[in-house]
Formats: sequence, C-alpha cells, structure tokens
Amino acid sequence: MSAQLVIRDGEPHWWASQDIWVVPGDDPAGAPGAPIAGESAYLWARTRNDGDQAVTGARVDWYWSNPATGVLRSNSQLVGSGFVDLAPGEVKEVLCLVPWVPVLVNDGHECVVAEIHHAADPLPNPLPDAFQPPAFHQVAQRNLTVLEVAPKKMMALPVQLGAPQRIGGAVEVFLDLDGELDEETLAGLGLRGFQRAALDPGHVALSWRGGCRADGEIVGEHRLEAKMEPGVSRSVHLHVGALDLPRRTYVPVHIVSRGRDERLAGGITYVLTAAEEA
Amino acid sequence: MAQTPMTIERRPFSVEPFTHMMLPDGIFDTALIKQRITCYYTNVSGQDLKHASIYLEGVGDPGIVPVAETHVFAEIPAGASVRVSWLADFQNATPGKKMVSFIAQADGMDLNRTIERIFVSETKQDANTGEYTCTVEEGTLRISRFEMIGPKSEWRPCDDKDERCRPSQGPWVPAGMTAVWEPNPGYQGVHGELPFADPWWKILAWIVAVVAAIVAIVAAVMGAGTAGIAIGGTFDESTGEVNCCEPAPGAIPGSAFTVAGAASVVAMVAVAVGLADDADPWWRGQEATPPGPGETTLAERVEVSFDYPEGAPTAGKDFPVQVKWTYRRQTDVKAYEHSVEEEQRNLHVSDGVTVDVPAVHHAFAGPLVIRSRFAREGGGFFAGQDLYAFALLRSPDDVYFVVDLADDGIEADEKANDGTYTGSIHLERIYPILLKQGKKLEGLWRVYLFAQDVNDATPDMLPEVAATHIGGFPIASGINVTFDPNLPCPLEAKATVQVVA
Repeated sequence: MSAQLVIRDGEPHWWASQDIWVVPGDDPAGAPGAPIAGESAYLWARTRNDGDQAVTGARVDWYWSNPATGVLRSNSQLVGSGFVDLAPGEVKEVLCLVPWVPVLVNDGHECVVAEIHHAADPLPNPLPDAFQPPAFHQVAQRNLTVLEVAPKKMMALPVQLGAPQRIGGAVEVFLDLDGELDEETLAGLGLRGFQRAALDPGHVALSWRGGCRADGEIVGEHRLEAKMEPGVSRSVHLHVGALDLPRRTYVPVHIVSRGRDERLAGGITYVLTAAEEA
Repeated sequence: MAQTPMTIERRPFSVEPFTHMMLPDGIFDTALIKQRITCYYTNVSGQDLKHASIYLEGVGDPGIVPVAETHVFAEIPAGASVRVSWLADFQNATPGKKMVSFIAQADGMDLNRTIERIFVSETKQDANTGEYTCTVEEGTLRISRFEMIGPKSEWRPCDDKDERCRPSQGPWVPAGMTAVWEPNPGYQGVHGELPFADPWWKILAWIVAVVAAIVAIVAAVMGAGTAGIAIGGTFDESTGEVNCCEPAPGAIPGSAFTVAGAASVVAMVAVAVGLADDADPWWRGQEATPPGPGETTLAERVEVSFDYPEGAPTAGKDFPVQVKWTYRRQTDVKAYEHSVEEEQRNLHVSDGVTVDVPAVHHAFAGPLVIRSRFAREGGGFFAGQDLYAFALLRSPDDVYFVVDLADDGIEADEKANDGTYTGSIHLERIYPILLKQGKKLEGLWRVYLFAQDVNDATPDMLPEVAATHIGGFPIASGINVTFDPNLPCPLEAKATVQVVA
C-alpha cells in the first residue's frame, strides 16, 4: 500500500501545468483567468492520488516567482497553503485562500508552483533548490501567461534565466511556436473554446536587450546561447510585434531553455490572444 | 454526482483551548496564540448522510496556521448540526475578516466547499502603562482604565510576599472602564463604521476583558511567560469582594483553566450586559451628538461604571446592572458629550437547566451518558446549533474531565434538534489516568454544565441589525460568582452519579 500524490505537469511542455490555475478578483470561486497586476487573485491546484493508500491532511503549498525559465525555491515566495484528503484514485481541486497579488513590476506575468506534501509520499529532505517538476510528481509549475496583443502594440517582456547554486554552464534559449493547448489548459486561462491561430515567425524574437524600436521592427533571434555562472541570473527578452489576431484565437509561444546535458532546464509559455476591445 | 448537502449556517467561532470557553461573540484574538476554529456543520437535506468527512481546507491569512484534521462521521442524520473544530496558531494573524474554507463530503457524493468568514482582533497591552488596545481594521479601542472587583484575598493561592506566588485566577467582575474608540480613518456624519461591519464597539471591550482574564488565568496556573499567551494580563482591581471556588487540589491542570475561565466569562459578561445589546453607548452617543457639517470625528471616549444591585452576574439569569456612562465625541472642531444613567438586564437567559444521569453507573459496563436540557425563557428549549455546551465531570478525588455535549442525533444523542444535548464518556478509558495519579474510580462523581449561545446573525443582515445578534453569552455555568462570602461553595453540581466498578 502506498500513496502517490500528483499534480500533473504540462504536456509536452511540463512548465505549462493544466492542474494549476488562477481566479482573478475577490471571489475565490469565480471564473479562471489571467491575473492582473496589483489586484487580488486566488490560486487553485488539481490534486490526485494515483496510489492505493488514502491520505488525510495532505498540504498543498503555492509559490510565485518572477517569470523565469528555471524556478528555484531561493527566488520564489510562498503564497499560502491548503489541505486536502485524497482517497485512492481520487481527484480534488484545492483552493489557496490567501489572496495572491501579482506585483506591478512584472505587470502580472508571474510563475506559480504548487506542490503537495504528505508523509505517505514524501518529497526529499532537504528539499532541493530547484523545484524540478519533471523529477517529482508532487510538484508542478504554471509558467503560463496570457498576453493580449493588438495591431498597434509591441511588447518586450523580460524573462529570467537562473542557474541553481553551485551549478552553471552553457545554456541555450530558443522559441518553440508549434503545438496547441488542450481544453483543460485553455479553460484554466479563461480561454475556453479559443482556437489556434497562425503566426508569422517574424513577429516574435528573443534578445538580450529589452525595449521596443521606434520603427516597429522586431530585432532578435529565435535561438540564443549564454554561459551561466552558478547561482547567477540574467534576463532575456521576448519581443512581440504588432499583431492582428482574430477574436477568440490564440498562439502559444514557448521559451525553452536547455542546459549543457541537453535536458530541458525549463521554460515559460506566453499565450498570445487578441486584446479585448474597449 | 450530487453535491454533499452540508453547509455552515452560523459564523465559525473561537474556542480557547485552555479554558474550553467560547470567546465573546466568537471573535478570535491574536493575544491567545492557540484557538480552536469551531463551527456547526448542518446536513441540510432530508436524508441521513453516510460516512461523511469534514476538513478545513485553508485560511485566508498566512499568519493563521491550522493543524490538519479530518472529522469523520459514520452517519449524520437529516437536519442535524455537528460541531467540528480545528486547532490553529493565531500568533502572526492580522486583524480583520478572514476567509476560511471547509470541505464536506459524504459517500457517493461530490465535495461541498463552504467559505465562511471569521473575525480576528488584535489585543495588546502596554507593559509600562497597562493600557490595553484592541485593533480591528475599522479602528482601535484603547482601554486606559479597567477597574475590576477582584477575588477575596483568602481565595488567592498565596500572598504577595511569597516568591512562589502567582497571579490570581480571578474571577473579576467589571466595575468601570475608560475606553476610547479611534476610527480608522476618522469619519464625517453621525455614525462611524462598526468593527467588522457587524458587532457593536462594546464587543471589543468585552473581548479585552475576557482575553485579559484568560491570560491571567493561564499565567496563574502555568506561570508567567507561558507559551500560549502573547500579552500580559492585569487589571486595576478596585476591591476584593468576589467569592468563588478555586479548583480543588488534585485537579488536573486543564480543569483549573476551565473552572477559572468559566468563572471569568460569567463575570465579564457584565461588560456586554451593562453596555446593552440593542444599541451600545457608542451608537447611542453618536445619535445624541450629531457633529456639524464637514466635521471629522477623530475619537470617541466612553467612561462607564457598573454596579450590581442584586449581586454578581449569574449565567443565564436575568440579573440587573446599573450603569452610568458618558460618551464624548472629539471631532477636528470641538467635543460633544452625552451621559446616561440606567439599568440594563441580561437578555441571554435560560429558564432552567436539567441534567439526566443514572443514579448508579457501572464503570466498565458502558459509557456514562449525560443528557441535558436548557430551557428558553418563555418556553421551549435551546436546540442543535443554538448552543456551544460541555460538561465537566469531577471524580471523587477531584480529577476533572471535559465531556462535549451535542444535540446532533449521533451516538448517545437520540435525536437531532430535540433540545437534548448529550455527551458520553467511557470511564474504562479514563481509568488509567486515575490509576496513574493514584486516584479512585469508585465513588460519587459530580456533573457541572457550561453552555454559551452561538451568534445567529446572517451575512445578509445590515451591520446595525447584525450587531444586535451577539453570541458567546453564558447560558449555563457550573460556577456561580458571588459577593457574599457566607454563601456555600458556588461550584454547583447539576447532578451526581455513584460510580461502581
């Protein structure tokens, strides 16, 4: 008899977990959607017990951190905790009742991690600095942000590349513009029923430099390389050009970082949608 | 699957775990580090629910840290309200209305999440001046003078010269106080915001009184600096006239807390009674002193004295309190005053308490069942979630055990909501505790009853209407407080049972 407590990773991009979502506003039971900088939001997680032993009082912890391709405990903030009982095979949604207020400095674009703890299926002790969701079924990450684009609006978004303590090396960062998001993930973003739109690859790029050019041109590459010192972070910028997406469509833009051993170190996904008309 | 038809109909309330007493109006206070988040969960369907479990999912303040616990019921009868609670640490809580989410789930049904709000205040005491402050989001109540009629000296455990002397355990009967409400922010117009948009301002004074008493009791029993309390806890004692039994020697520590705590809750209720339920001196003072246009009210002081023409406060009885109070509104322009002298009476009364226990109980044959009824004034009985009640069972050698009383139709309670609150305890299970202490099982056991009413305000009420609904008043108490030292020991057993092996 054993318990296996799971918060699912995203598929194929593990950092885009469909089991974590945000409810903006003052009503924790409201509709999922994108968080708004400076305003309250509530975090949820969908937990399951894939084992054959029931657990009571499992604790779910939620963290937020700056948008980064590799999220570490040392650069994350605990939002709050919740408890859940899970019978074998049971799936339950858990609410974090501590309001989360995304900070203005990131314009609401932040990464959320949820992890479930119970003695019947423990995480390592001590906990590693990196959350490593792919290595632990108890941990998942929602590095997934809705970005409203408009025909006359350009954006440059900073994304943090972080190297864990005592581990450095070459890092490759690249854009992945393929694939679709499943219905569950779209629902968790408040985009239920949205369709995948086409995207001219020339409208997005990565650059070590931020800011938008006055002439509206997108400058940057789809692939960058950097050498990271242990414990050091640096920023890469996602540049998004002026886009005229049809209503109720979306385009996923995955920023993927890969370490020296070719394993995926992490990533962040922006979901581009048409801005709501005023 | 259908959703589990269980919900919480009344605001969850604080129970202080040392004394087992509900705090005034069920409000939590950060001065008491550990409190039990307690509520009644009601099966609102017409069907009995099988194998239902209830747990606390989370609290909307990271400074409140609950201990995970799941309450499991084999069956919850239709319409029954079960009492459940969770221990939580409030040391780092912040004052305000906090959300708490609870999950209920019965066999074959979907879970039902209920989100309720609890009220949290923050009481502190200035170690130098002795001034108490009770802070909520809407403002701060400062109590600079808190005069109490204290215990008679012969009831104190030792005198002041004895270095082993500990602070008194009370009880203290309020004699007067000076309390200043500082609204946050100052306001224009006649009335300011009620604390938590619900109870009268007087409730904060009552909270301070009870919290300070509990703190003093814990310090008296456990020693000053005890973990579990976050403030000092002293009063300006005016006289030493209160007479009340101390727990007998040999009692387990928990019972000392409970007996002393109940005595002080009974005595301190005079603050709430004297300051009236329908409108307190702040509200009435505001109505009588409308400020000029554009004036901002910055502080509102109430100076009050209490007198007891028919003796000390008694739980559940219609006792009078003579009060004199002066309300003073200080605006940014001038001051206004309004004074009142009147008699107020305790409205939270019971027409009597009855207890049913067997005359003789065979300790190992089965659990000892205690059945109690609390009559309402004018007819009928309190029932179901109307009361928070428990019994204190006292062994022949003065060892005490707390027995929860419930009207939920579960186990020993025959029918939910019939007005009979039932509890049971198997003496076989507590026999090892008695053996360890060298105490005897056989002999005459005494039963003391305690009950407090539960606030029945609903979220849709106007604040000034909700404010008139107040909970936490003692309806029954095994402890009687008296000013007359010639009266017999006021620790009043409601029933006795002869226990045989």
